[in-house]
This record gives sequence, structure tokens and C-alpha cells, in this order.
Amino acid sequence: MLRKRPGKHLLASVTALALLSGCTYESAPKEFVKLETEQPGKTPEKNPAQVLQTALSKAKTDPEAQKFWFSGYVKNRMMSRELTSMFDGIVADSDSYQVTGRIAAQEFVYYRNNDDKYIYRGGSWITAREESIPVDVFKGFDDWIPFLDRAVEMPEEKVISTMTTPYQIKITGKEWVENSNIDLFKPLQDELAGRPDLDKILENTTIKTTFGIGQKDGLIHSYQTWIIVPVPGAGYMDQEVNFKFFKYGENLQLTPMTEVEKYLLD
Amino acid sequence: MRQLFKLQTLYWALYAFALFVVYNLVVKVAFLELSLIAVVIFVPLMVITYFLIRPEERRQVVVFTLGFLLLDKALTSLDERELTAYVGGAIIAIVGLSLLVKFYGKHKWNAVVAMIIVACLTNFTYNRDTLYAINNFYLMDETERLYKGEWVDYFPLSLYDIDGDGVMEILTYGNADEVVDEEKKIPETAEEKKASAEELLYLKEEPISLYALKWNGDKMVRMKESDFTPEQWKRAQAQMPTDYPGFPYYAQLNDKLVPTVQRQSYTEAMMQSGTAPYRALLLDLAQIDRKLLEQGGVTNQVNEFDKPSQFHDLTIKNGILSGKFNQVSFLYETRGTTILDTIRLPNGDEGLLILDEDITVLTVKPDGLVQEAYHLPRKTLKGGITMSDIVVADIDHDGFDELIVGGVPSYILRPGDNDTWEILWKSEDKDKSFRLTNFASIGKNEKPELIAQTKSWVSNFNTRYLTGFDYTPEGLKQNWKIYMPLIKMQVGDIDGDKQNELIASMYNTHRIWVFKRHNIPVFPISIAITIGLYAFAIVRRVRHAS
Repeated sequence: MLRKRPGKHLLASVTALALLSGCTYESAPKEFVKLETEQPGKTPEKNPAQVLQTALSKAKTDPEAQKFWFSGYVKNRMMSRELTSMFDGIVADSDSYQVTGRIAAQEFVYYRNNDDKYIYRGGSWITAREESIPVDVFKGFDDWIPFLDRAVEMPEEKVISTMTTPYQIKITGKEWVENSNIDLFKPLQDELAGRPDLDKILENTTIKTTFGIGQKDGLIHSYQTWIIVPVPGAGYMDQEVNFKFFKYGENLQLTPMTEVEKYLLD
Repeated sequence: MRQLFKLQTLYWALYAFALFVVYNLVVKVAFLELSLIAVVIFVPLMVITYFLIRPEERRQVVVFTLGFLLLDKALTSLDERELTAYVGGAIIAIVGLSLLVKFYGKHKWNAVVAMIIVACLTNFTYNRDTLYAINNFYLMDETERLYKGEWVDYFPLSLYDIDGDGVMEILTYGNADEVVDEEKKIPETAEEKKASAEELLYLKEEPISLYALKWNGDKMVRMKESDFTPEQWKRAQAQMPTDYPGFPYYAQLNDKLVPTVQRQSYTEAMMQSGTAPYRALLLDLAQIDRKLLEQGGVTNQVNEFDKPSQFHDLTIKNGILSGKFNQVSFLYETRGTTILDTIRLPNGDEGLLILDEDITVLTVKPDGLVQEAYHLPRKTLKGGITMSDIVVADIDHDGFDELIVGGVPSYILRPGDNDTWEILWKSEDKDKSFRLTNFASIGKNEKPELIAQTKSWVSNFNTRYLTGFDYTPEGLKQNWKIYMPLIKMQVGDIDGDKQNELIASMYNTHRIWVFKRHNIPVFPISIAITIGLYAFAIVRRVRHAS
């Protein structure tokens, strides 16, 4: 009886009410999604490694690139669960940022200004006590450079209000771990030799990373990585790591220290 | 006092009960299903009703009607957490509305007493959640919250006869008995502030235990581990489906949920944004590694299915599926992580369903040769399969199985010829609520039904109600609906009466609801009462006019 057609709503609704146990959901059109035979993307016009290096160099030296907004999240989808951690905020200079975060459905604010580090939670600011790692927002991008020779250029895309050229790389988890120079992967690289089970997991993992470089300013505006990883007994997890950087050069300021101190709990 | 025993008291009580039925079982259902269209129907109806009442009785009837409905609403909304507030609130509502009905409505005390008695009976003698299901079910029991924590949205539910007494126990995870409620107070001294800061700063470990609930003839009670033999408890633990609550930020380790990150360090790590995906993969692998080590490198294992099958002793390890079909051993290279089920194929073969990024159906020849009989790429299904429930069942009762892919949208698929799939039914792409979840028999000798989460017919709200359907070639024919957003449905006999009950939870509540099916035609009776009420009003009006 019902296919949710607006014109039929009233009649359908009255019938639904009168015959509550007799309604029928018709099928939607019985069509599968057609699989694309061609890989998306084209051969890049510019050298992606060169474009990324220029963007990183500009991010370090250009005064306009030292202040910006960012919006990031890691979305984990698996077994009817979707869990998203979020990191939104501002970078005010090379030593300070403020992040409104959420991890496992619990929200907080992290304030970092040189050596002053505080977490806002439960209505109070609290002094953060863990050992810190350096502030370096664009650290890690140059570790993609060894893989950029296989990047394709995707259709241009607007990020907030900036038109960008996206470059995309698709590799397996095993290729990524084995060929990456980043220090973070070193312990894993050492462990893999004696672990055929973990090795198989990585072999079956798909990594797809896309950088969006501003067409006018040459800066990084978007950074998205899909990690599709097999999880024992749980199918494959779709994990999306997504950052956007925008409003470069805007005059941004962190919460004043006086405000923090006013509500400091400890 | 004498007027209490007059026939009028009974009339007013009957009228109050009729109001209760009409409002809760007809008007509310109409608003839930029809949204604003119900306003279009009921506003003119109310105006007509107003003029149907004899003018000299109008004030009395309207005040009594509003008084009763407001009292019913007030008693339903009482805060149950504190006894003083609960009793105090009830007294204030009863006294206030009674005075209004008595003096503004100019009623005799017998009408006021009838109103109070019916309102109290319809509020305090049964669980009000029953009303959301009453058309086809009644609520046997509702547990207290079983998990005291901030972040887990739900835990899996399972049914299993642990002690072999012929009835199922409900299995889930919880920590309500293990976590002590602490009174929160504003920290004042330096020490209290330091303790409070410590409490707020870190993601914390939480105790978590397997909860086994048994029906004791009156309600669900928690059984202790010591009530079972170690072997029985171990088998019960094995019944719980693989789950990763909080993945990858928490890990479930034995009887604890342990954070794998902390706010400051993880935020600083993610703020080296170029390294974010590297760190994300490492966090994933840490949990996967732990799971693999715990299982001796085994990705997934099924010794036997809970239905007749020739497949047994199946294991996926290091990308190789091994097992036996009848007594013939086989090996097969796979990307799969999960052995889902077996399926009766149209050619009479029995297939084995493996979940990788896609769904694969394998068949085994008598010589042990494994063939990929069907492959269902996830990209051919709008919405994919990552977050879908996969159920194998003979939906159309033809002796062969179909595949339910319960996602958004949901599909019912039939294996066709030569590695093809036929869509028997599919939900609308734009309907973000509809989701097929089970195929099960509820009640006594009922044939199995499709169970789905669905939204109301017209409303734009995506609240999902639990609905039962029969599959027909014309579509899914609705059998019943429970107006509660229930999740994790399970069906089984938990009270030993040979009838299957419906057991479910609700998002972020960590309570369990148990419903039993009845065959009383509640909705037609409610409609009849509504019509009867109007007929009575019309007759009185006509008599008065003549």
C-alpha cells in the first residue's frame, strides 16, 4: 500500500490507522548499484610529491600559514557501531592550539600554549599532566612522499571556500607499513617478520589517502585517509581519518589565560 | 459518603477508563503514525465533540476530561528515582486536579473519586511501557540499568540455556552491581579539588561482567557465576557474540573495559595531523593483535552451527579457511574474517557464508574441492555491508534460503543461477530508519516473521519502532508494531511456557525489556470503545434535542 508518495500520504495514513495490522511495505526498485569498471582519477598535471613538498615548506615559512582553523575526526564503522572521535579548533601560532575534542563519546577541550597545558572538563579547567610531544601540526605529511609517484589527480573539490586539487593514493596496509620511513612504524616493521597472522591482516588492509591542495594558496586544505581493515570475527572496519584546514591567516586567539586560571580546579 | 456508591460513580469511572483507552491507544498511536496529519483529523473531531455534548453538561464533561488526562499525564511523568519526590508529586497532582474538577467543573465528589481511582489504577498497577506494545504484546519485565558508565551505547544480547533446564537465560554485559554510586559534591578543600581533577582528567578503566538473567516466575533476576558449573559458565561466555565496544579507544579485557588512549596524549598525537592515519592504524592493530594473541592467531572459529549442517570444525587462520564438510577436510585461501552461517542453495547444495569485505558463499565437492558459488560485492549494495546484520532464512518458505542484509537500505536476496543474486525486496534508499534485523517466531506456534526497525508511516522523525512483517511477493505485510526504539532483539523461551518471548534493549539505556505476545484484538476493541463513546454522546444529544 505505502511507498511514501506525498500525494498518497493522507489516504495512506488514514488507512494505516484503521487497519494498523494490514499495511504493506512495497519494495523499492530492485536494482543493485552498478560497479565502476574504470578507476577514478587521472594522471596528475603537476608532480604530486613536488606539490606536497611546496605546501609543507610554505606551511613552515609563510606567516599567513601559521594561524588557521581545523576540523578533524576519526570515524570508525564496524558491526553496527559507529564511533567518532573529533578534534576541532584553532592553531594560533607555531606553539599553541586549542582543541574541542571528543573521544569515546566524552567531550573535552585541550588548551596548549607553549608550556601551559590544560584540559577543560566537567565545568573546570585542569592542569594536563602527561608528558608532551612537540607541537608540529604538519608533521607526518612528508612520510607520504615515497608513495606519491603512484598518486592520481581527482576532480577539483571545494573545501569550505577554497578550491583544491585532490591527489589520491591507494595502497595495501602491508605496502604502507613496509615502505614507510616514519619512526612510528618501526616497531611494527620489526614485529611483522614473525607474525604471519598480523602480516595477513595488513595484506588485506586497504589504505586510500587523499590530499587537497589549495589551487591559489598552494597550502594543504584537506587530508582524508580511509583504512579498511579486517577485524577478527567482525568483518572489515571502515575507518575514516579526516582533517580540514581552513581560514589560513585569520587573526585567531586562544581563550585568555585569565579565563583559564579563573576556573582552574587544581 | 453515600453518593460514592451511586451508579453515577461507576459511569464516571467507565468514562475515565474509556478516555484512557481512547487517548493512549488511539489518539497517541494516530499522532505517532500520522504526525501532523493527526492534527488535521483530530482538531475538527474535537470541535464536533464539543458541540455533541449537551450544553448544560459541557463544562462538567470538558473539565472532567481535561482533569483526568492531565492527572494521567502527571502520574506518568513522576520522577521515580526518589520516593519523597514521587509520593509528593503524586499527592500534589491528585489534590490540585481534584479541586479543579470539583469546584471549577462543579462535580460531585463521586466523580472526583472515580477520576482519581481510575488514574491511579491505570498508572500504578502495571508497567506503563506496556502501552507502547499493547496491541500485540504485554511487557513481562523491564530490568534496571545494568551498566553505570558514560560512554558505551549498548552491549550485545544473547539467549542461551546455560543450566540445561529447558529455558533460556538472557546474557549481556553490565556493571551495575560492581560500580558503587558515589554522591557527587562540589570540591572545596585543596585535597578534594585535586581528587576531583584526577577524576575528571583521565579516561578511566571500568569493570564489566557477563550478566546472566533468569526468569523467576515474577521478574528477571541476575544469576551469579557460582550458580553454574565452571563448564556451564564457560559455554555461556562463548555464546556472547564478538563485540568491540569503544574500538579502538577502549579494549574489553576479561572483566574490564580499559582505555587505550588518554585525552591529552591522544589529542597531541592527532594534532601532529600528518601522522593521524599512521597512529589510527597502529591503534587498530594493537587491539587486533591482542585479539589474535588471545585466540592463538585464529581469526575466527566455528565448531558447529546451531542447526543441522554438514559443515563443522571451521577455522580461519593466517588467511586460510580450514574445516570439514561431512567428514571430508578442506582448505581454502580467504580474505574473510568471519564465518557467518550456512545457506541452502537453489541447486540443493549447502553453502558456507564467509564475511570478508564482501560476502562469499563457498561449496565443497565430495573430494574436498572448494568452489566460490556466489560472491556479493559490498559495493553493489547501497549502504554496503560493514554495518549490516546478515541473516540467513527461508523467507518465502520454499525450502531454500534467502539472505537478509539488514542495513540502510535493507535487502532480501535470493541466490539465482550462475553466481547471481535476485532482489526479492529492498527498502527505500531515502528511508534511513528501516532496517531488517531478525527472522524469528514470536509467541506460540507462530510462523517466523521478519522483524525490522521502522519509522512511522508519515513522520519525518527517524525514531525506529520495532515492527513484525510477513514477506509476500507484493511486499512486507505488517503484523504488529511496538512504539519503542528497541535494538538488539532476541527471541526465545525464557519462562518455560514453550512460547517465544521478545527480548530487547534500547539505545543508551542498558535496560532489557521482555515482551510476551497475546492474541487479544486490542486495537479493534479500542476503536470500538471510541465509536461507542461517540454513539453514546450522539444518542444523548438527540434525545435532549427531542
